Amino acid sequence: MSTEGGSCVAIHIDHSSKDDILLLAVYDRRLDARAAPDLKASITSFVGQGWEWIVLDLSAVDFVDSSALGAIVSGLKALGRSGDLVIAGAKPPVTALFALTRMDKVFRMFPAVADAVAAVKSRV
Amino acid sequence: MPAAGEAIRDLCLTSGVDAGDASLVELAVVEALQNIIEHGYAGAPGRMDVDAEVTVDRIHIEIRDTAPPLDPARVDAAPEVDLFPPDRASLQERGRGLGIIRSVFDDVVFSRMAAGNRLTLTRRRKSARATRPSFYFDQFEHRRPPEPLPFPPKRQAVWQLLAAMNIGLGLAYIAWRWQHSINWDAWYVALPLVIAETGSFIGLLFFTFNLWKQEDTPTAPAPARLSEVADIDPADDRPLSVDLFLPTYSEDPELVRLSIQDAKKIRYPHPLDLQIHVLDDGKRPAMRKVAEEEGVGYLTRATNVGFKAGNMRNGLEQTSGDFIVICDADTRPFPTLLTHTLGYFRDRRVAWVQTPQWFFDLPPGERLPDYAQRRFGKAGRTIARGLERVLGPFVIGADPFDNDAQVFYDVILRRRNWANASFCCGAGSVHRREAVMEAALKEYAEAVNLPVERVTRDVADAEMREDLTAAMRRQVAGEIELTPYKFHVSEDIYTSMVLHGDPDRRWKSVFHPWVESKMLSPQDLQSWVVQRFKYAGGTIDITVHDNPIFRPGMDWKQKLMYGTTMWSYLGGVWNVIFLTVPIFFLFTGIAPVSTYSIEFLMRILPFLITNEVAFLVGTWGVSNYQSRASYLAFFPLNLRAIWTVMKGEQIKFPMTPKERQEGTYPELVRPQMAIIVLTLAGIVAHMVGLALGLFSNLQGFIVNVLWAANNLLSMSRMVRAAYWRPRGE
Repeated sequence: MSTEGGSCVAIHIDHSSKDDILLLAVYDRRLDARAAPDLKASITSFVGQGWEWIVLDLSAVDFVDSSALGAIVSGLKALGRSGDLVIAGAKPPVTALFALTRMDKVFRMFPAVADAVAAVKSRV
Repeated sequence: MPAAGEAIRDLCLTSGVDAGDASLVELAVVEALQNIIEHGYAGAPGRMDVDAEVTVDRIHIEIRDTAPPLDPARVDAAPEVDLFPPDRASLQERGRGLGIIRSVFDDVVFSRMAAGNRLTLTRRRKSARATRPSFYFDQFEHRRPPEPLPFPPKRQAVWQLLAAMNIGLGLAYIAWRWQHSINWDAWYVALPLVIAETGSFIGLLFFTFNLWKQEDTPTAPAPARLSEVADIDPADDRPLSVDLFLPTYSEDPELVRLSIQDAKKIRYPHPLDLQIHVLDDGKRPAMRKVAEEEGVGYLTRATNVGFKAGNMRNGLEQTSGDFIVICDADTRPFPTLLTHTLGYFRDRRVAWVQTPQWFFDLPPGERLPDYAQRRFGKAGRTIARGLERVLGPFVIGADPFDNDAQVFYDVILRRRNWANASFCCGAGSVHRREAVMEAALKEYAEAVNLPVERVTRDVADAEMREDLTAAMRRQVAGEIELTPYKFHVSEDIYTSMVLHGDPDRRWKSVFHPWVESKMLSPQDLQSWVVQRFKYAGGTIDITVHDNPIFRPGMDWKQKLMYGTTMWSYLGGVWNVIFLTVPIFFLFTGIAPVSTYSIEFLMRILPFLITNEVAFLVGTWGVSNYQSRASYLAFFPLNLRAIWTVMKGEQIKFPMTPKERQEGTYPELVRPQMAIIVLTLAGIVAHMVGLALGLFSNLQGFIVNVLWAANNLLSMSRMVRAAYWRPRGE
C-alpha cells in the first residue's frame, strides 16, 4: 500500500457470503482514481483470506473511471487461475464504461446479484 | 529600496533558502543600493535595476545603475566585517556597506558598463555549502536552456520549395540509376548499391514529410479546476491533482535529491494538489531516507516485473492524481513545468504533453586557439588564431557523443505536432491519467480476447462455444498483464502508438517546444551505445511484431510520421553498403555504376547539392551534419539491433547509467575503425594500381575518394568519442 494517504480515500464496502461465494457491495457513489488504491487493497485482501468466488455488487455506484476499473482487474488477476470475479447490478453509465474499455468481454456481468450468485454457483 | 530588498527576500524564501540566509541577502542588497545612492548618484535621483535569481546552489543578484563610473579598485579594497560581532554596537552603521556585501556574498564583481556600473553578487547556498556532495555537472548549473528554434513562415516556404525540387531531382536520379546505369557485369555490388540508394531515397521522402511544416499547438492558460479539463458532474468539481514520478533503480540518492528539490519548487497559479513520489525499484534504505528527509512519497514493490514501465504502473496503482508527470531519476523540473503545460489539457482529447529533454551538462568544448596552445604551445595558438580569422570560430570536443537533442526535439518532434503525431519520450512529459488507464484497459481486453477467439471461432455449437469462451477468458485474463505503460524496451513510443491508435477516442498529443526541465546526458560511449541500442532495438521490434501502421486507429499522416521513425532504423542496412562499396571499388577497380562520366555527375550533383541546401534551410539554426554523421557511424549497432530482433532475442540492456564511468571504449568502435583502415588502404592500393597501369578509371577514383572521405569523417568522429574523456582526467 501507499506510504502516504495523500488524496486517496477509503471506500465503503460491505461483505457477506453465501456458501463459498463472497458478496462485495460497494456503497460509494463514485469509484474513481482516489478510490482505486483502497478498492484494489480490499479485493486482494479478501483473496488473500482464501476467497475464490467473488460477486462485486456495483448497484449503488453511479460512476466508475478507468483507474477504478484497473483496480477491479487487479482483483481478478489476484485470483490467479482459480475462481472468478463477476460484476452484478452495474447501472447504465457504469456498463457504458465497461463496454467502452471492452471490459465487458473480460468480466462476466449480471443485471442483479441473484443472477450473479446463481451463475457462479452453477460452476462452483 | 526597502521594497526591492523585501522582494529579494521573498524570492529567497519561496525558493527554499532558509530565513537566516534570506535576511542576510536582503541586508546586503539594501546596503548595496544605499551605497549606490550615496556614492554613485551622490544623493541625486537615479535609476537602479535589480535582477535576482535563486538556483539550487546559488543566489545570484545583479544591480545596474547609470551613475558616473566608480573605481573598481575601491570595491576590491573594502575590508571584510564580522556580521555577528560580540556586541552589536561594534557593527557600525556607516561606511561598512561594501564590507557587509563582501561578507555575505562569495563573489562580488564590480564592472563598468558603457553608461553606468554593474555589481554582480553571488552567494553559495547553505545546502551547497555544507551537505551537498559535489557532482561533475555543478559547473554547468548556471546554464539556461535555449529558446525554441525559430522557423518563420518565409523560411518554411523556401524549405518547401527546395524540398520539392530535391525530391524531383532525386526521383529523376533514382529512375536513371535503375534504367541506365547499373553495371550488370558486377551485379553483386551494383544491385545492392542501387537498392541501398532507393531505400535511402524512400527515407528521404519520409523525412521530408516529417519536416514539411511547423504548427505549434496554441498554448492556453493554466486551468484552475477539474471541470476545465474533464467532463465531470459540477458537484464533483475540485482543484487539480498531479502526481510526479521519479522512477529510480540504482542512481545515487543524492542525485535524486536534486530532482526532488527542484520538483518541490514547482509553482502553480491556482490551488494544486502536487504529490512527488520516488519509485525506487532498488528498494534502498538510503533512497528512502532521502525521500523522507525531503518530505516526499516513497514507493517500492515486491518484484521488479516490467522494469521501469512496471515501476510506473505500481506508482499509478497507488496514487490518484488527475495528471502524471514522468521524470527520470535525474530530471530536474523547472518551477513553470505545470503552469505551462496543464493548459493544453483543456482540450479533452489531449492525452499527453511532451517537453524537450535538455541536457545541460554537454561538454562545452574548447576554442581552437586554447586547444592548440595546450597541445603545441604559443606557436600553436598563433597558427590557430590565424586559422580562426579565416575560417571563423571553431570549437573542439563539444558534445562528443552528439547528444545535443535539438535536432530531434526542435525539428523532428515539433514538426509532428500538426499531424498529431509527436510521440512521448518519457522524462519531461505530463499524462492524463484517464487516457493512459483507459487505453491500457482496452489493450488488456484485446490481449485477453484475441487468443480466446482464435480457438473458439471454430467451435460450431453455440452453447459449447460460449462455455469454452468463458472458461478460456478466465484463464487468459489471469495471465495477461495490465500495462498502462507498455512493458517494452521502448515503452514510451509504444504507449504513444497505442493512444494515437485508439479508434474510439483518437487521443491527441502535444509537443510543447519550450524547455521545462533539465537532465543529464550519457557521459561516455558505453552509456551512449546502450541507450541508442535500446531505442533502435525497441523500435525495430515494434515495427516487426506489432506494427501500429497496420492497426485501424491512426490516420495516414500519423502512420507516415511513425513510418519515418521506423524506416530510419533500417538505415543500418543502406549505410553498411554505402560504407563498403567504395572500398570494394578502390581495391578491385570494379565499378557498381556503369559510368562515372560527366553524365553521372550531372545527375547526382544537382540532387546532392539541392539536398544539402534544402536541409540547411529546413533545419536552420541547428547543425544537421553531426546527427547525419553519427547516423552513418551508428551502422554496427543498428545492424546488431535488427539482427537481435530477427533472432527473436530479448533486447536487453541495463539502464542507461547517468554517472560518468571511467575509461575509454575502443572495443565499441572496432567496426568503424575497420572501415577507416580499409578505406585508407584502398585509396593507397588504388593509387598504386593507377601508377602501375592496373586501373585506369581516374574519374571513378576521384568520385570514390570524395565519397570515402565523407565516410572517413563520420567514422572518425565516433572513434574519437570512444577515447573522449573530460579535461583534467
